[in-house]
Amino acid sequence: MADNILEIKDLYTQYETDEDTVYAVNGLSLELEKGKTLGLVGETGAGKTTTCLSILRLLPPKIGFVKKGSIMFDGIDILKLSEEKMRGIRGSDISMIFQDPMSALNPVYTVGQQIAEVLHYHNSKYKTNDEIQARVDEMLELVGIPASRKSEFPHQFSGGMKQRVVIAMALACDPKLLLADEPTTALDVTIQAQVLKMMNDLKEHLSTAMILVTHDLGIVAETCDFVAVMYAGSVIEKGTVEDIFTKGVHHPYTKGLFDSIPNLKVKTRRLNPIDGLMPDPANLPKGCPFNPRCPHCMDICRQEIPADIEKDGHMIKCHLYKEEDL
Amino acid sequence: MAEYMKAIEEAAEPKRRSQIGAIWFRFRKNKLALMGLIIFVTLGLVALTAPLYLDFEKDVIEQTISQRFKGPSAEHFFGTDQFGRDIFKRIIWGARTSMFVGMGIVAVSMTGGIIFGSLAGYYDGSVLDNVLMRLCDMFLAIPGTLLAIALVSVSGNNIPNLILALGVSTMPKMARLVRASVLSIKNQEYIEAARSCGTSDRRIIISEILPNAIGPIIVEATLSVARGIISIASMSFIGLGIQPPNPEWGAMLSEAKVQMINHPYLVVAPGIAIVLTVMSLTLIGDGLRDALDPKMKN
Amino acid sequence: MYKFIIKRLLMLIPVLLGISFILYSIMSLTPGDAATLMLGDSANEQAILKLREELGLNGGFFENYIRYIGNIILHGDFGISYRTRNPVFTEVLTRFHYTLRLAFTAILISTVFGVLFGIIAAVKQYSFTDNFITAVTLALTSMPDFWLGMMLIIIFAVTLKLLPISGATSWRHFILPGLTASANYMAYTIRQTRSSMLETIRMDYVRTARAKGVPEGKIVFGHTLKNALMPIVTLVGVNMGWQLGGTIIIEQIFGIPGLGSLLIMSIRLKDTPVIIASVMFVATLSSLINLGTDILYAFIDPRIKSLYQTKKKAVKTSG
Repeated sequence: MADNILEIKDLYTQYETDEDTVYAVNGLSLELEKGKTLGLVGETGAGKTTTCLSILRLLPPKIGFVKKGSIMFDGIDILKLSEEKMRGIRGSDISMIFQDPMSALNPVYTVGQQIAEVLHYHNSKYKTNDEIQARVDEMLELVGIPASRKSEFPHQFSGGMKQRVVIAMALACDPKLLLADEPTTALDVTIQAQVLKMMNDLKEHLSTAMILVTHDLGIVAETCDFVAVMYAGSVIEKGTVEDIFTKGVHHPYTKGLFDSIPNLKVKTRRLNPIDGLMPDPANLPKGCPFNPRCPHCMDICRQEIPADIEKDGHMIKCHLYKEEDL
Repeated sequence: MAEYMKAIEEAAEPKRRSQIGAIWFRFRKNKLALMGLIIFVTLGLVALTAPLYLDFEKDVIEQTISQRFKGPSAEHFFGTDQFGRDIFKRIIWGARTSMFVGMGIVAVSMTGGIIFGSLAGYYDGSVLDNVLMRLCDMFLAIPGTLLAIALVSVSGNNIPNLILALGVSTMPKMARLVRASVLSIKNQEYIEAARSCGTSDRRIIISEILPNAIGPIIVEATLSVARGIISIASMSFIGLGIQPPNPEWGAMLSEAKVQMINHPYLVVAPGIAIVLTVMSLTLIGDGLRDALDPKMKN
Repeated sequence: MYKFIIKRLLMLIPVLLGISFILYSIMSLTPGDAATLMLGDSANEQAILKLREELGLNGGFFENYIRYIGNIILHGDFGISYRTRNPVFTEVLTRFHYTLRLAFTAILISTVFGVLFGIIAAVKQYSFTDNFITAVTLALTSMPDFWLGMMLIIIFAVTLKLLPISGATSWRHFILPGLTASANYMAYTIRQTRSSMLETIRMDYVRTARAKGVPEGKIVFGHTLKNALMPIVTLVGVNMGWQLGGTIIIEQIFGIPGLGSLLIMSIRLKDTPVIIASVMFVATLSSLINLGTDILYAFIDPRIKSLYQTKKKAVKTSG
């Protein structure tokens, strides 16, 4: 098997409140090779963020629980680690960056202090104060910010620059895996392009594996090696970028996603959205969660959750196909 | 297209109808708030129906020297005071005063507060707004009940003056709150829509803005009654409020203070009455605030 | 930065003038003539007229008011107490330091314990400790301060005989009054600290810090507390202002000869100059303290501080 930095098997994560239980992740399985980028695609509410939080075990305490499954990171089952050890992994082996850069940085600490913080709390190769400061400078330059600005406060930076600082913080300890949860969604399109390019370059430079969560297929095409499409808490299709983006056999949801993208070249009068809405994760339908909206829905779809049909790395979770169809 | 629009309307309609129902539902789920409501309603009923089972002259005022300073007993639940009066009955009667004056104060402060606050908020930035807010600042710069004390000592010591004085001294806070509410609603799009239809300012304020602002106002009003009850007690305590022989809780405590060293039990009952009433009102106010805010802990 | 301070100081002046005008107007509505009050009803009419002249009570309302304000600003002369014939200013000043001591004790207790218990309640949210603290704060805000004072006297002074009942001669005399005066605001501070902490803990930057593997201790005290405490600073400032005025009744109960008891006495005897002067004194001080708090806050919050720094320092680049 390929050299996988991450292997998630059959993950179930739920949020339990006074009123009801939200089934955010239902039987999710994923693999990621070292140094590669996986695009985790899906609409809002599909469970992408929850998956990332589950990996880092950052679910809101007393509300979010991983109910079942295993997450192997570099051969270790991190769901079984003590909180102490897990904290050691956060920020140094696995890092996460979040969607909204405007609120991701603490307003009362300088940018330099916040980057230094992650170096300070992990026994990386930067131990003395001088080494730490040098690394802070290095990281800032790497993301395109002059090191002289490290004593400034977050509010003195624009959105795009704040996100670069966040990226600098996340990569400071040379993590093996970076979880990027819609890192450019909150930014202007032009800034988006810059930040993505920077992330691509860094990725090459540092050979970090990355899970890029997004709902933008364009970004996936540009930056990812592999793709996993999520719906209602599970992966319904995954494969290489070629597998997903080329015409052929696809999950009806994936097909719907691609069909709904307006074509720049052909004149159309109406858009082609997917009928219906994402199901309420507290109230999932029986069987395949996509069945109420699927144009090819069969009786069995309403009864049983489909099995994974796989060939050569391309997986589709649908009753429509058998292995030879792929 | 038409069916689509109709479906949207239908989805919106029942929500508006049962908005009050939804609020009540959330309120009910809050056990503390519910408890507060039950306690307060009970106290209120007891106070309201008092004339039915208590005779003012005989039970509340009449002094029976032979019976003075008796401890709690079956006949006198809380004992008797320095004039032989039954404390329990006096406390019940005192509840009427507290509640009546409390509501009066809130009526005054709400009226003024809503009028000035909505004008200031709607004409935000204008001379009117600035003047009103400076006035509020001035009144608010005089701490605590000092202003009310000054007003009452000048205008004379009777209930209407008391209500007015305390109402006026709490008005600035309410006005500020209303102004803030109005300001945040004013900038919403449906107000702009109403204005572009040519609706008069007065109409907009009364029909569009205020109904939406009413939530925080009601919460503040409830908590105001609670604070009002304490203020009345404080004023009566220093002799500027309800006069004896009327059994106001604060006045009772003032009388009890004199006897404090030898008969400490006199201090307990009126205080507990105040605490109970105010606590229940506070719980109701907090419960209302939580029930009105849909973005809860979940 | 100095522009900010000066601007705020200037805004203070109309407020203070306004307060003095309001109070002066209220007091002029008092029935009864000051000179007659001082000399007695049977006094000689000429003597009354002469005294009125001296007190500056002849002439129209505005004339009197302007004269009054003029005296204050130019001579620091707040007039003469109708009761004691002494200059009001000295009366107020001698009593003020007792009120100050009481207020200071109360502020210290309510701030220190308020913030402490607020943090504990927030960190242990929904636990028994939190619920207990919440219940106690609810009870404290529901009771009149004078009742709490009396109950404390009964328990600690009368029954247990641990502390003195009244007076202001030793530091022990200030414990019970200080506790009483602090109760209300301590409860308020606890609630505010708790909710501020809870709100801050939900902030994105706290989540970022956790994702960086920062230990919980630093998260609570470094990241959360520093941010949560900023609004609390404003609170303490406002508290100080209100505390100065709220100690009236407590002074009465505990027999502390401060401004509060002076005020009550003056009200009973309709000693107008003293009333106005005392209230103005307290109002001015509390306004100044509020201003001080605002300035302090601007120094603590880096976001506001940079607003007032010179243009060459605060540079924003895009990208």
